[in-house]
Amino acid sequence: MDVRVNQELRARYRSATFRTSLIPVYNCHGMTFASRRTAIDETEAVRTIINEDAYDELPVGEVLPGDIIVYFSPEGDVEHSGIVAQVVRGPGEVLTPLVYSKWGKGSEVLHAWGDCPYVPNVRYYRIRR
Amino acid sequence: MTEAQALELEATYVVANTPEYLYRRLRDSEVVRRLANDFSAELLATMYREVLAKPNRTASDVAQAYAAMVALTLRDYSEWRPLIDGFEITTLDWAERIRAIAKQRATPTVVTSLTASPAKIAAPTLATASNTDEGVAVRPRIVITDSAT
Repeated sequence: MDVRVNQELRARYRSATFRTSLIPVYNCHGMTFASRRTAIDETEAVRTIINEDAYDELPVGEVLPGDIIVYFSPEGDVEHSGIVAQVVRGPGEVLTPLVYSKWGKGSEVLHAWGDCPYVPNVRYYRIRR
Repeated sequence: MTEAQALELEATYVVANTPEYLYRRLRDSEVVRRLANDFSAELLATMYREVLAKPNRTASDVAQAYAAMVALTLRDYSEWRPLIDGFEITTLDWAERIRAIAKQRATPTVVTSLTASPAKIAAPTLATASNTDEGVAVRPRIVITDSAT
């Protein structure tokens, strides 16, 4: 994978922390739901995991580190997911989750939930069992 | 294609977790829109085939193949629909699914012309009663038979 792409992404998202080099083996859903063992690239597969592994949706005010964040496209496709690493309380008591996620075939990245290449239309989940 | 444009396409490809994301982002990309405007459907199909024919494909090559495919789908439906069916799709992970998404989300423009002789267009309906002082709004009534001459 081209080193220039890594540099380009680091330049675009300056506040993000890029923890690894580009790793094409697994993607975001593979990191979030499958222990970095594979890439999961089907919306239906992610929906199945969320349902069958018993995740409950949470309001943003209840989100804690370890919860899951899922990004949805305008068409309802599951575009991205990650793990909440920290919840920062900003001005006006607004909660700003910091997310740990894998960007496609690229790096694992620590980033503010809205500071990434994915539509900031998100839902949060916590595993029940 | 400039180096900066190629890098933008590659970055989009690298961060894509799903084919739906890649399709959506490429359709929105100015680089891809420019490809669709500047090249004919046949040239875009050729670009796709040439990239696939490369012996040692890089991530940038793969990104450009997807970009050519999506650019093709930005052109007129009647142009790209027959071409894309002939694409080799087995050597790119998401080619088959992106092709399916493009077909599924395509909105072909269908123009239907209806012709009828003046005799078959009825006169406007006449208002015969009204509950208000303004009367009744009347729209012309058009009657088209199935045996227009």
